[in-house]
Amino acid sequence: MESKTPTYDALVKKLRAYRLKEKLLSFYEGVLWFFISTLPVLFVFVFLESFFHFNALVRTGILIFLFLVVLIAFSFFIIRPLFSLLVRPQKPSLNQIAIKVGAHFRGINDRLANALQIFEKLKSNREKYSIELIDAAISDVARELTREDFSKKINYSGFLKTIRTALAVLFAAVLISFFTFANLKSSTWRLLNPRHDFSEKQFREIHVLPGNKTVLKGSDVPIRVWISDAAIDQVQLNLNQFSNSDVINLAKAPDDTFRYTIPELRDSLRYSISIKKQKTDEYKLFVIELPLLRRLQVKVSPPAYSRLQPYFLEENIGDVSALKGSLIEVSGEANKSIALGSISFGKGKKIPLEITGNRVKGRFKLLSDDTFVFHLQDKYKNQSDNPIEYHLEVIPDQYPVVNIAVPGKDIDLGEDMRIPLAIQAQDDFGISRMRLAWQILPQGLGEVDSNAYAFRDLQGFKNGSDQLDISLDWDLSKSEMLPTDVLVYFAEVYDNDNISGPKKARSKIYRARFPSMSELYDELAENHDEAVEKMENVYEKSKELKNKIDQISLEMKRAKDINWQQKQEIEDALKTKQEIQKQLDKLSEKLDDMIEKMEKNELVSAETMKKYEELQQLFKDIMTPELQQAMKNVAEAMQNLDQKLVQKAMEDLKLSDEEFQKSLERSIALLKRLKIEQKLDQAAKMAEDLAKREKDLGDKAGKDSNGKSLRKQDEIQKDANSLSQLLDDLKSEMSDMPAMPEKNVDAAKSEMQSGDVQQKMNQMKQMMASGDSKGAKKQSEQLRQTFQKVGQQLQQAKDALSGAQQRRAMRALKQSGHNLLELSKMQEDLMNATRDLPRNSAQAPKIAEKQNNLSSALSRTLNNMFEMSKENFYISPKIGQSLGKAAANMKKALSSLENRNNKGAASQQGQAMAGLNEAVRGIQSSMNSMMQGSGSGMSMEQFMKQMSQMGQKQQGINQQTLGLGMGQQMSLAQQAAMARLAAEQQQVRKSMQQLAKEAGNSSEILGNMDKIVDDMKKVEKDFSQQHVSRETIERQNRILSRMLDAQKSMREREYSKKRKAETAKNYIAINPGELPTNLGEQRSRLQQDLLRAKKEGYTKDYLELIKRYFEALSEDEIKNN
Amino acid sequence: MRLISKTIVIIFVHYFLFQTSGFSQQIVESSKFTIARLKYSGGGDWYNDPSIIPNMLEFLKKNTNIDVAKDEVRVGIMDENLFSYPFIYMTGHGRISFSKREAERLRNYLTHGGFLYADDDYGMDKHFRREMKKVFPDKKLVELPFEHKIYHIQYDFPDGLPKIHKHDGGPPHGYGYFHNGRLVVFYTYDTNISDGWADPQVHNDPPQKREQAFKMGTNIIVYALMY
Repeated sequence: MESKTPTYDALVKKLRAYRLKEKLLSFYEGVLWFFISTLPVLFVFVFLESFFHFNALVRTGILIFLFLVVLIAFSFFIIRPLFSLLVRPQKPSLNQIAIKVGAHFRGINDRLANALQIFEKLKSNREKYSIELIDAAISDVARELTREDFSKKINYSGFLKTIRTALAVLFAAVLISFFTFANLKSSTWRLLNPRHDFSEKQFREIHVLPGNKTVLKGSDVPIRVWISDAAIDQVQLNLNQFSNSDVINLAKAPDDTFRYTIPELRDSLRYSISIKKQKTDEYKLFVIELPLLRRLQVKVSPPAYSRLQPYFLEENIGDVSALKGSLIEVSGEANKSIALGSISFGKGKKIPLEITGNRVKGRFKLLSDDTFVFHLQDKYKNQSDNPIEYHLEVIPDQYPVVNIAVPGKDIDLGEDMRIPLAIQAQDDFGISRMRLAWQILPQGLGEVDSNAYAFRDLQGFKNGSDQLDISLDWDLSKSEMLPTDVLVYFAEVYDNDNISGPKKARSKIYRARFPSMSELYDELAENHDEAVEKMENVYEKSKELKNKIDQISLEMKRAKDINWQQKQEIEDALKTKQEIQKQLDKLSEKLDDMIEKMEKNELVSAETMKKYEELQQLFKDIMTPELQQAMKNVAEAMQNLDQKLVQKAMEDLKLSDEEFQKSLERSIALLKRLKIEQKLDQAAKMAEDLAKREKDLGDKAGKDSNGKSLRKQDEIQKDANSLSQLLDDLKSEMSDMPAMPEKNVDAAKSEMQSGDVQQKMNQMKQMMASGDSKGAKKQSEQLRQTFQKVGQQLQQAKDALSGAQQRRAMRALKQSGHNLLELSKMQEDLMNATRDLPRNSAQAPKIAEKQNNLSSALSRTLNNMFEMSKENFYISPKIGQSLGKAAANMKKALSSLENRNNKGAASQQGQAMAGLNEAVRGIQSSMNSMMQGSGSGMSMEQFMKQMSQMGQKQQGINQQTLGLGMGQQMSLAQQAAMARLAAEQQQVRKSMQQLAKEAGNSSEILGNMDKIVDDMKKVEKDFSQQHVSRETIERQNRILSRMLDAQKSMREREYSKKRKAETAKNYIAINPGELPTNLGEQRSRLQQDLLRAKKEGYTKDYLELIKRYFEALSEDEIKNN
Repeated sequence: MRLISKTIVIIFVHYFLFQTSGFSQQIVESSKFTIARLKYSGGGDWYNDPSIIPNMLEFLKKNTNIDVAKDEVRVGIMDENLFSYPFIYMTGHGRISFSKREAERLRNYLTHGGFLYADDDYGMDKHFRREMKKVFPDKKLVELPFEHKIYHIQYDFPDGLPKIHKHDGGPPHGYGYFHNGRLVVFYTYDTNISDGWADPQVHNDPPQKREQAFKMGTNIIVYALMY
């Protein structure tokens, strides 16, 4: 039967599943209801506790009550369904379930329960139901229910309602807990500990900061506690670290908080706050170590152009001041192993670091001012916190500096048209280029055009030198400069900065003016007149002073003592004398300047220049040592107030002052005379110059532009007019002087007039303007000839003047010499007569009379010589001194004779005679000098001319010798040439010997004459032996070199006399004092210091200060120079 | 004792200079000190008084332990062997002219260990000063105080330079150019020390004057070799 009831089993199974599911649902619902029913109750009592803080008894009651509630609810809602599920799984019966299920299916209703019941009856079948019928009933129901799922018919609506209720309760509980968590917590705590006494903590609310926190190792951790109970004024801070614990009492701070700072916390710790018996939760301070750089090393490699070596900064110094373009390499060591790292720049850039363990490395180029920080991250992604910010500063490459040290001022160009330049340049790291810029401003007019400069690169220095001193002799003779044009120039340098591009700097702009001849001469004339005027003023003053001294001297002879007034007068006289001396010093300087200018521009001939220099020397000697000593003696005697001493000193001063007066008078006369000679030179030079310029103009006619030629002709015409005017002035000035070549000047003037210079020049300009270059050339040639003739006439005038002067001087010297010799002889006779004369001899007055006559005769000679000395320099001051000595002794002798002191008189007569003889020797020496220097007709110019000719000849011989070849077999023609050269060399040698003989002192400039002659002889010998070797050539070169040197040295001829070495006398040594601190090294040292300062990495501001300081020093130096 | 110690120092310095300083092979070979007379352009008589240098060398030989040569050498600024001579001497009465290249080379010589002694034989002063400006445009000729070692190093000259020849009649002056603190040029003016080295009959100087000149010359040379 069993086997025939599969349908029945399936139905039973379905029903059992239905029953189980229903029981489970009931259990779940019970659980939910447990919470729904207990939670509100618990919340209610917890809230009541939080509000009322019940005592222990009530709390115990509540706790028991709550326990019962929970127990009942648990039993009812959880145990009961669980019991049903686990202990009574057959309840309700399947029949009851079948009725329940059947009710859900239309048409089934009780049929399912019936079917099941009938089927159950089959087991006993006491009623003997038809089995087939039962089968059919079952099958029928089963057929209808086979596809139905009974569990779907379970009613969930109640369960869902329960869930919604539970969720509502739960939501309300969470919401309430969220807002009142602390209260609930403590209330719950109190309820759960009903026997604990919570009576004191009813109003305490404790806030502890920072609570739990992660802190950096080594940092200070502030702890702050706030308690709601204002009555509490002390709490305890419990610190627990490892096994150590510590309790710190904290007092209340004014802001009602309790504070404590744990210093430099290195390890984690726990802490809590205790208030009497209450203790807060335990908080934890967790110490961590963030990554950070422990060691930093920075290497700076300056850019290559600076040639500075790489250098390291001090350890842990990360602020960099370096040149732009420097490579900065950073390396460091972190406190822990690093996973990631970078350098972040203030301007936004970021570069990664190379990382190996705890070592980091990075590199970057310094291009601008910036900041940077290291960002490090460890493997736990802890990042460095608040990293140190380092600063990057670009030290600017300074601009180069250039300065034209020489001439260092605006100048007038000299005759040689050269500017000696000394250019100093410097840069902190080297100069790459230097150039000279210039432009010419015609006639100095117009503005400087900054775009019109011509440039010339200066070579000869090492690229990259940080300091340059370039010397350059700038030759402008081939430039297009015309008189009155102005050259504007400066130097420019570039540094070697290839990072930011070379920077350039310019020197100050200087001007060099090309003065016209007439300007130079005008200036000279002005200076001349000024010098004469000042000298005359000094002379007048000096004359007045002399009268005063004479008067004082006379008064002193009468008075016994010096009175106050006399004393005052003497002091005034000395003061005036000192003033005169100062004025003379100034005049002397003025004269020096004038002479220097004349020399530089070659404004006068060498001969005239020599005279100027002699005058210069004469002028310097005016203030004789005797006069100075006499002044000193007067001053000293005045201090002693010794009348006799003062009187004697005044007498000496009077004598010396007379000499001074005469010297001054002579200087003035000579200066006036020289002015005429200078003008004559000027006129000759101008004529020569005009001829030359006219020739140039003719040669370039048609080649130069019309404008340029016309301008040149204008200049010539202007200068020709000046020449004409000059000749008129000359003639007028000459008329007041003796022995002047007025006729020659007249002739020159006539030449200019007869040549119709003005008319021809005007015609020439017209021709030029109309482009008639042929006509202009012809006209130019005629003018040149006229100027040349004028020049020749003036040259003759010069020669005539020179000759006339010499003749007059020679005549006067001869006459004076003769007279003095006579006087000497007479003085000797008189001395002999006086020596043998008895004391009271009647002859004495006669001898005295003779002595007086001799004295008068000497006076006359002296006057004549003095007059002559105003015309030339042949009468040296030494002659004057000897004669002065003779005159003084004659006077003394006369006085002795009057006093019947015959012996003394004889002695003084002897000294007078000696003075006369000395003067005669001086005169003879002067005459010899005249004979040697020019008396034989050999002037310096002639000497120069002959030297030049011989030099050319020697040069020709040398060149021909080179053409012959050395040590080769010679042809007949060559042998003949060699013989000719030997003869020529011999001729040069003889001429040289003759010249040396004629030139007298001038031959000194040839140096060792014997050696030249010796060399020449050897050359001649080589030629005659037909053996020309390298030595022959060298000898010839040596000869030529010596001859050329001699020509150059002619300008130094004036020194020849002085060259004579004279053994020195004693002198007073004056220690110049300490050396200057810079040892005269001045700017370069300062510049080096500045460069050093730059390299030492001073800040920008400080460098600027140093630079200003340096510039101030340099300016001072320039001013002082 | 002091003199002996000084002499030992001189010998040592001399040895050191010539053995190690790299002056020319020629000097190393001969190991003898000589005064090189500077041949300059411009027309001045650089060659005058041929007896002075041999006489000075002779004095050095007799009075110091410096191993000296017998004769002078003559050297131009542009000569290859200029740097072979640690001590060059120039004199004259007149013009001197240094070209740009000469001035540069002379500067180079002086700033690299060389020493120039210039003695005005009257008339050289203004030319020398002008030309030296080309050599050292940035430096100043400064007068040396009497306390300077050059006046005391071997022989004592408490009042500075001895006055040998009269010239302008004033006291003599000793000037110098310094480079980095070292005296590189010594210039004597208004005394003419080197004229005192000439044969006695040349200028008829009394023996005392000549002796002073030689002693000062020795001081200059010793100083140049020691510093």
